[in-house]
Amino acid sequence: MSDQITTIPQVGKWVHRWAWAVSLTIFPLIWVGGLVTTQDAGMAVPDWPGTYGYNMFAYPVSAWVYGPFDLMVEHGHRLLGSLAGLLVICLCVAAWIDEPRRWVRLLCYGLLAAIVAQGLLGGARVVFDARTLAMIHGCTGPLVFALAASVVTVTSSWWKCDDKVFVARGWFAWMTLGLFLAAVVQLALGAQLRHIQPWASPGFFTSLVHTHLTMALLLLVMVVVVLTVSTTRRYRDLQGIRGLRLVISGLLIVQILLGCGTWVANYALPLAGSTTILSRYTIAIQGYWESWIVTGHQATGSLIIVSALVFALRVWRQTRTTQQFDLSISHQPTP
Amino acid sequence: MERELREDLADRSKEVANALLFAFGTPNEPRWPEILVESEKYDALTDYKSLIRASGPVGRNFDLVEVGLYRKQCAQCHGITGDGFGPTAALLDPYPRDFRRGTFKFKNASYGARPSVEDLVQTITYGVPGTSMPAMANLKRSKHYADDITVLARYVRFLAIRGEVERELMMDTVRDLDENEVLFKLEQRETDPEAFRNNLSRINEVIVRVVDRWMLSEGVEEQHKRSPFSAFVVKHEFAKGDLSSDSEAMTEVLLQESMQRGRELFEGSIAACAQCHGKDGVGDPKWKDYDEWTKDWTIRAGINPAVRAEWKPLKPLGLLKPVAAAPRNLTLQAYRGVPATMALEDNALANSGSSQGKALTEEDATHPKHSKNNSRLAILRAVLNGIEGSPMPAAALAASTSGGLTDEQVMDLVRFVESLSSSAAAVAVPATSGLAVMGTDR
Ligand code: HEC
Ligand code: HEC
Repeated sequence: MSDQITTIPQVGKWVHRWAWAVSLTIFPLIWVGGLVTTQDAGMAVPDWPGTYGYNMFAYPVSAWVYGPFDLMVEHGHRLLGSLAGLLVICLCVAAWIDEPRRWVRLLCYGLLAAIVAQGLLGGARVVFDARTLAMIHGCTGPLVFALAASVVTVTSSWWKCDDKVFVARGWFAWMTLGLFLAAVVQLALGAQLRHIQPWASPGFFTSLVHTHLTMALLLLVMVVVVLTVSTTRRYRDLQGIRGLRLVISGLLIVQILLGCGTWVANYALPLAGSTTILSRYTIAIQGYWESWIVTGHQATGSLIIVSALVFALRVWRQTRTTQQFDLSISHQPTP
Repeated sequence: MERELREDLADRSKEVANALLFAFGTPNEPRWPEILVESEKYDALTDYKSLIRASGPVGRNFDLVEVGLYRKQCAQCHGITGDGFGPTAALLDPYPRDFRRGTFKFKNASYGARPSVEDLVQTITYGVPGTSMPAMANLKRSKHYADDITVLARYVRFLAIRGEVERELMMDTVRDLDENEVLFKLEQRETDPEAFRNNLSRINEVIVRVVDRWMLSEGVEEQHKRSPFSAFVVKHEFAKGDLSSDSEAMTEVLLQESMQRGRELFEGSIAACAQCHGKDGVGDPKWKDYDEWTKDWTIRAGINPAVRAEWKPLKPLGLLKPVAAAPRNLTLQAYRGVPATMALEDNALANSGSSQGKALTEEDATHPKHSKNNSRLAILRAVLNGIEGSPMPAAALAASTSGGLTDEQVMDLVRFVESLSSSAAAVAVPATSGLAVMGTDR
């Protein structure tokens, strides 16, 4: 990495801003994408890249907004996706003009490629009417989001300043990466559950559910460990992780609650036969709150992935291997 | 020997599968059997619109018509063919319904009869509270989804008919056919048309037999005249809707007396409710009876569902762990039966123009069941019609059996059951509540 060269924070400011714009578009995009799955609206528009024979952008607004909800959601998802594509192009132009670090420029171009690929994958899901592609599309979406967030992170002026107190990179730094990866695995499991094929066997589904729950427990433990270690004396002074600690713990709690809510909204109340209220409760299909909860569970999953990655990046930015320490010492001008 | 028998069965089931495919098509492209389409008699049954809209993968066609409704809303639980073996099945209690038996619990139709489409619509619209069966009432809110429920109900009927034919073909072939006799071979259409026609007509006989059972339940009027519950409702003019409005209230004393008689019946030997539900109505924790779907492959096949070692080897065949079908805890005052007389009420509404009768409107469509009115109707229906498929029997009535329950006694029972609660029984029942109706309008 070119961390040794202290870049001037003023340079590349627009890259940072465009990266924010892309990320802020991707989050609602992920919500709406989740809603597409919740409503099983993936094929609500039978063609792609057109919409019912129209150019996507020329599809009449009235047909879209007043049409069936699934059509509205699916077409909205496509439009929002196009917006993200437009913004990432702007980001790349800004990076090309104004970003001195080659690897960051490459990262931006990589983001462009990822977003285009994600769009194509979504299109292929429609063209081949393939649920499996929808599942992959649903897993890679949050990864694209994470990539965008990492562009935001590495283009921030905090990142660019080199006046940091570096700490030795121990297992803790690896553990933060592990947390990110575990969150990705957990999301992939969730996507499997959400995109289950109707002919999948009950045994398969049941073991998926059990794995998803076990993984949730594992994630909980990992988060507790990582966050606790990050408060120990060695890491206490790391910058930019205090707020993130709160965010991650909050998200995790919300996510566990949403997970329980998702089960209830989709399948059943636990202990339904125990009290009058529980045994009178009826699950509602396509209910308003139900949709928010289930889709929110999926969207919060992607937020956890993103915050775990940003956390890891920030930790890595301030830790160095002993080798790097030696190197930077040997670079010190001799007095 | 046993292995030979098994292989024989495997061959047979392949033949049955092919016959079904020929008659009913595939889950992606289902069709009604030729024999039904040809006959005008079945016109009301064999509409293609619901087949097209409910079957196949989820999505919209270019004409904006949504298809694949069953896979969108139901298949994850009920399975693509309606075998109750969808991916989520093992995690739910009770298990999702296996439609292939033609047996349904909650219906105005009598015990043993097939549900009418209206019955299915009720279940699908309001779900089954306390279970995983969801309510689709939300779909009615938008004009784009308004007729989805009827389409799904009709598709459930299609799947059930298909499943029943499969079942009966399987049983028939095992019973009637010699080892070397053919049930169905498509190749014979070319090689031996005569034999093919004969085989086909045997299959068609089964199809017609099954479908005629379903036809009996069609037409709300017919249906309602037929079951004890419907007859009761009509006789006592429950059809007017709000039961508490147009009759004098029972006095406290009369009500208490009626409930006391109800208690005696509940515990007595004619109704014998306490045998299953317990004296206090909480149910029986040591209950070991099973529903019909479970009995089919356990008790009736010589397997004890209570002994793990006996049923475990069958699990890989696609069977779910047997779970006892416990009697309901009646003190919870939560009933699963769908509001039973909506269709009647609608009729009554049309007749009387009374707005009071409208117990169910679009707005309160999601949870209409727990009104006093509907609770009472659910109890009444459970007592009179029974809950088919579960151990809950239909009561013996004086009208048909000597020594059976009189109408008066039925209402005593209903009042008592309605008053059951874990705390003080009588407190929950104000004297002027709609409970009083039945006792006084006679
Ligand atoms: C989340 C799982 C789930 C989904 C989704 C679901 N069901 Fe069910 N369904 C059940 C369960 C569980 C039962 C059994 C209830 C009982 O035995 O009390 C059931 C029972 C039924 C019954 C039988 C009721 C009776 O009287 O015996 C019908 C009919 C039915 N479902 C139709 C549908 C249709 C149509 C859909 C799709 C629109 C659907 N279900 C979606 C779980 C589900
Ligand atoms: C052989 C056992 C048995 C007997 C006798 C019996 N029940 Fe039940 N009852 C059951 C079972 C089992 C269920 C649960 C059915 C289900 O939903 O699967 C049930 C359910 C019910 C329900 C709930 C209906 C609903 O819509 O949710 C009521 C009410 C009820 N019984 C009342 C009675 C009354 C009153 C009697 C006496 C006339 C009686 N039962 C006799 C076994 C029995």
